[in-house]
Amino acid sequence: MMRVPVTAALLAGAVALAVHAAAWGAAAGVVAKSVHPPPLQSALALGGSALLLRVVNVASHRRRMLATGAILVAFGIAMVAVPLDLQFAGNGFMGDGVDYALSRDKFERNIPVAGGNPEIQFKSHLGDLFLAGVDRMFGRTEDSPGIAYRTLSRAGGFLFLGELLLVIVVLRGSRRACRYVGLALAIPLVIGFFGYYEVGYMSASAAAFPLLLHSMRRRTQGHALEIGGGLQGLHAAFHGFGLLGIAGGVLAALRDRDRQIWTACRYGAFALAAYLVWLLVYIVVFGWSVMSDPYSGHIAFRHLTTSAYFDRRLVHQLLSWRAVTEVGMASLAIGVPLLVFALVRAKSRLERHASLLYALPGLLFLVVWWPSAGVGHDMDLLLGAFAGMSAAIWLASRTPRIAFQAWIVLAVVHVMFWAVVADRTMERIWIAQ
Amino acid sequence: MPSVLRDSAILLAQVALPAIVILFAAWRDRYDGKPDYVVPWVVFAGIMWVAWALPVGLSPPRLRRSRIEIPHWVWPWVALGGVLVFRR
Repeated sequence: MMRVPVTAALLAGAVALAVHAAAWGAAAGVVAKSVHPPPLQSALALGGSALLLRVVNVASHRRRMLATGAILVAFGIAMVAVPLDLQFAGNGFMGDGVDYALSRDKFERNIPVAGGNPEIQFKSHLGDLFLAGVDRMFGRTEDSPGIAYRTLSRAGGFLFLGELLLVIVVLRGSRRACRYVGLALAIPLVIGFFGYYEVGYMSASAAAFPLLLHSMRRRTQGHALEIGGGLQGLHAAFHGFGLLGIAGGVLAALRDRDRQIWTACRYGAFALAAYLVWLLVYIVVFGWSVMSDPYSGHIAFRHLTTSAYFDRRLVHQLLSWRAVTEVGMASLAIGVPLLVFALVRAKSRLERHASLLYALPGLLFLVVWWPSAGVGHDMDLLLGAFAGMSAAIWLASRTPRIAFQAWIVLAVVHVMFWAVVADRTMERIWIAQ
Repeated sequence: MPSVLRDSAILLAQVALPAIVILFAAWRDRYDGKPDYVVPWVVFAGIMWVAWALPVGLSPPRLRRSRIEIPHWVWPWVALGGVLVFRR
């Protein structure tokens, strides 16, 4: 019954990947001119990943578990001990988060409940609740918004590490699960856990895809499907871009061997429940109103052939060099090339199809969405939008050799990430009133 | 060729040569005494080097599976490549 729509979605995924690949060519010239040495945080992420990949490859089960635990603990310590600088190569790359952290007035306008207003905005309701809670805990001072952002980043990091441990437990410490964890430490998303003053990166889950695929492969009495959906819903509650992950999970579930609709509905139901159950708490327990964030209307999409003005900035049409270059830069920086590499090297049709379907909403969104602050300043949102990264590293974790090659691709992705952040040629130009 | 000479040539090509070029780049671009891009590239490559080299002695050979390792000589050249690309 689902054969035709699934085939159509797979074709759409292939077309989306082809568009991304074409855009890399336009972006490469810009990115190559702004290559900078990656900061210590990228080196630590790649180093931890390399260490784990090598140990997993040669050690016994017991040593593998010990080494994985030790490296994850060391990674957790590094996330706290080595925070990101607020600027890289003279560029502030953390979007508006730094402004909110440095100005109490702006922070309270962005998160009304932090200023005592009984209302919370829907866009990133759980992320805002967390920030407001920490801000209140630290006395609502001038410094507490900054503490709140840093705490959110660390909490996201520990949630990420917890999800990786969950994958290892559910998959019983298999070598593949450990390789997945090893590669996960090197994805560019982890940069967000080193004290990134934003919320968008919280929308991606590290465990949702492996758990979903595990439940599709084994018809045992586990709860991997429900846990995976619930985790993705939790991330969507932190930031609404997690809806792309939920949509990807529902699409991937349609590739199940049997009971496709049941699997997709169950995954979607658990994800939406974890996404929305918080509203009951806000309204019934706290007595707050849930509002539409005026800034959530500030999402612009590129038109195919016509440019348009949006919030005093020019949105170039999709069929223009500038738009294609921006799509390519974003795509290179967040690791879409790894998905292509992993799809090419995959053996299992089920895994390959599920991965492409899982990545599809994010791939399409990255083509049509116009990052309002510019690619280099909206990195948290771009990272959060590409849920397919976890599918890519799952595919790449199939053998030690492919995982090793994927690590090299990820090292290049880190260099490109920071090159895109350092680039100034594609900055947004504000038009005077 | 005597083994000492051969080993010296290998060491020169693997470490000394890129190190000399990196030092030359650092000396040539020492604006205010600090070519601020050289150290980050060397640190980045150094951390990668340590990460790939550290677990070499951890496992008994019977458990050794397919080789996944990056030759040690790669990292000095990565540092040099980064420095040269950045300078351009």
